[in-house]
Amino acid sequence: MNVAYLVRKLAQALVTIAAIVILLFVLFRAMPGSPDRVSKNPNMTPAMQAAERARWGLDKPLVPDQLVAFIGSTVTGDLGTSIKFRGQPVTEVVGAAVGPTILLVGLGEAIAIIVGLALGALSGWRRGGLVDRLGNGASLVFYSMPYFVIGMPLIMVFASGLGWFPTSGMTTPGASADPVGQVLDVAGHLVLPLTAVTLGLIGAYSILMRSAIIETRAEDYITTARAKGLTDARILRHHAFPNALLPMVTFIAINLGYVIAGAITLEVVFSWPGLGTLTVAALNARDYPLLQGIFLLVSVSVVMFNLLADFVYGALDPRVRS
Amino acid sequence: MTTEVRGRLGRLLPDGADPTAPLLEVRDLAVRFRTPSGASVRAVGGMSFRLDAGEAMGIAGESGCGKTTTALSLVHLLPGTGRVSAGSVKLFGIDLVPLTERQLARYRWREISMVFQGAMNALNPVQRVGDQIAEPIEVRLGQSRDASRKRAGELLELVGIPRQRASAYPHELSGGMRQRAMIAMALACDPAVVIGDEPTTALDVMVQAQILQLLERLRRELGLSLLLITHDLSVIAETCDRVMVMYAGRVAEEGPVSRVFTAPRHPYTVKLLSSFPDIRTGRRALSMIPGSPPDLRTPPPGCLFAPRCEHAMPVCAVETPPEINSDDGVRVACHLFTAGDAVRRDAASEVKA
Ligand SMILES: Nc1ncnc2c1ncn2[C@@H]1O[C@H](COP(=O)(O)OP(=O)(O)OP(=O)(O)O)[C@@H](O)[C@H]1O
Ligand SMILES: [Mg+2]
Repeated sequence: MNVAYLVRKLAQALVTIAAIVILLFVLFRAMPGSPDRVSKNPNMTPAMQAAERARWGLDKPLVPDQLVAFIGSTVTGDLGTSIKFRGQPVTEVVGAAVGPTILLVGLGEAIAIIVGLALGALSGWRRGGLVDRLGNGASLVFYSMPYFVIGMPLIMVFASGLGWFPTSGMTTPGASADPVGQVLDVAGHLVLPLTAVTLGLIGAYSILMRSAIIETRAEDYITTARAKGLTDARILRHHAFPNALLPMVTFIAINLGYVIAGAITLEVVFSWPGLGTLTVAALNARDYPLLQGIFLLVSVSVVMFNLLADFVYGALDPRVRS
Repeated sequence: MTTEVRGRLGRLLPDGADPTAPLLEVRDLAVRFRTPSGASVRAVGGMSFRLDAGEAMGIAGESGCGKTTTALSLVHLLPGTGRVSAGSVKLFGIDLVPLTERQLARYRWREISMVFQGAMNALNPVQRVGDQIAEPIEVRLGQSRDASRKRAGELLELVGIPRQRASAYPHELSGGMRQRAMIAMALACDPAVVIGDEPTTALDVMVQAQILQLLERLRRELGLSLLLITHDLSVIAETCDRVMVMYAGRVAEEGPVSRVFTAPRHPYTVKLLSSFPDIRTGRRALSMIPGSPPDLRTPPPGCLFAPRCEHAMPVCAVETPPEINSDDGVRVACHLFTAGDAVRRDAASEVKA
């Protein structure tokens, strides 16, 4: 692959991240009740307030002093301390929620990408066929439903009703001490929310892949492949699929970038201790440092996955490389 | 046990091949398309022609007259909405029309291959051209990957592309190079018939001439049998032995290029030739053919060209003209040439004048 292409894309990503950091700084300082809130505590004397301001560096001008300090601490990985989780560094609070979210949404994405793309490709290739009528119908239904709408009936039937799975959370407190038991416990908690998120994502991927394949089918090189006497399966695998995949790359990358944001409604419905639940908690508590940390993490993740998309795109499409 | 029949270069022909049959013989071929509104378009309505081994035949006619449809229908490559509704397509005497997709796969590319217009879209943009050329050799002829790659390299050299370029992607080649690569691909399985559908149309004049020279050379060296579709009559004049002029999905006139281009009989051929820049002098001609082809959803009775024909007679609006074969090998479908009518023959001599 072209080195100049890589370097250019990498530079673009770094500039974007820098812009995001500055934007976050401006955004959170422009919001009502921002950092200054502490120093306006009416129970404090003006002298105490001034001392407090000086302690947090709020007596200095916004630009450049505060901005420089903000960038400096952000770059060194200091995102401040959470208000809701008193005294705990934001990085720790966020870090604890990242794992559960990646486990749930990341795994869901992985399954949905494989199943969704295959389902969409088959549906589009044999438009009106059995796979298309069943698969595309189901995909439309699941795609149009928010995750919690898929999740709630699952809870009612398989958790509250049949009692096969726990209704909420990721672990049963004090359930098991041995590692195998713990893994099984988490797996049991994972089944229902994972099913919900995977079904929704399969719907999205298969619908997009279906239309990409239908578009590709009409291309002249597919007629050439048919004229070559290749089997239908080979034409799909070697000619239609690799081309139809190209428009999917960006979409997949954007989706993966947002994995870290969690599936908010789904996590709340299942009380899953991930970033989605944490975001809601931070919003309710007006925990600005925590929100700021979450936003920064999500934005950086989106940018990095877009960068990855550019690389993957370059690998899949020779036209991009030159 | 069926006897083995060997064709060009001693290759084994498919079971049931008749060594005495013409290479390709199409009879009364008709093709219909379903339209979204539910109507049916008769894109090709009863075409007959034959192509002998080593021969090059040009197919000419205005846009929409059914040239591409005819070519695609030979090995069932029509889009899902189209189907052959009547007639036969006999290759070595074997009728391809009733064959299933699976049976037909045997004939695609190995016997009938194609070079499409604008190879940019006809080649897979994300696959190396060498791999695209090697694919039918490996998949259809069952050769090893290495042997197929090697053969692909030879084919590239044959069409004038250095074999190192096998690793190039289509967009890395110029338009002329892509068309050469497409020709190399068409030759991959040493087919009995190569169909070129406007193989030079998208190219500039210089490159066009080079591609035509290449086709000429390949014909001479490999003894190709060629069906060349183009609305550029000068291309046919330069490359083909015979020409078939189509109008609204039917044959208007067909015969040796030397006869048809110097003494056209069908009023449509006359118009078509005069609407073209002179083949020898390159002078731009002025006359256009007034009117437009008929709506093939509801084809009128009689001769389809009659509404645009200066020589139309009452019978033309009623009866489909029969195809008249004359002694010099020209076939024409026009009431002016229906035998035994002095008045019509007078009119005919007017056309020639
Ligand atoms: N997929 C299709 N659906 C409906 N009608 C079609 C379809 N393809 C072709 N036709 C009709 O069939 C007729 C012949 O089309 P065809 O493409 O064979 O013409 P052509 O002689 O190759 O024209 P051109 O010189 O423009 O390539 C046209 O009237 C066209 O409208
Ligand atoms: Mg055409």
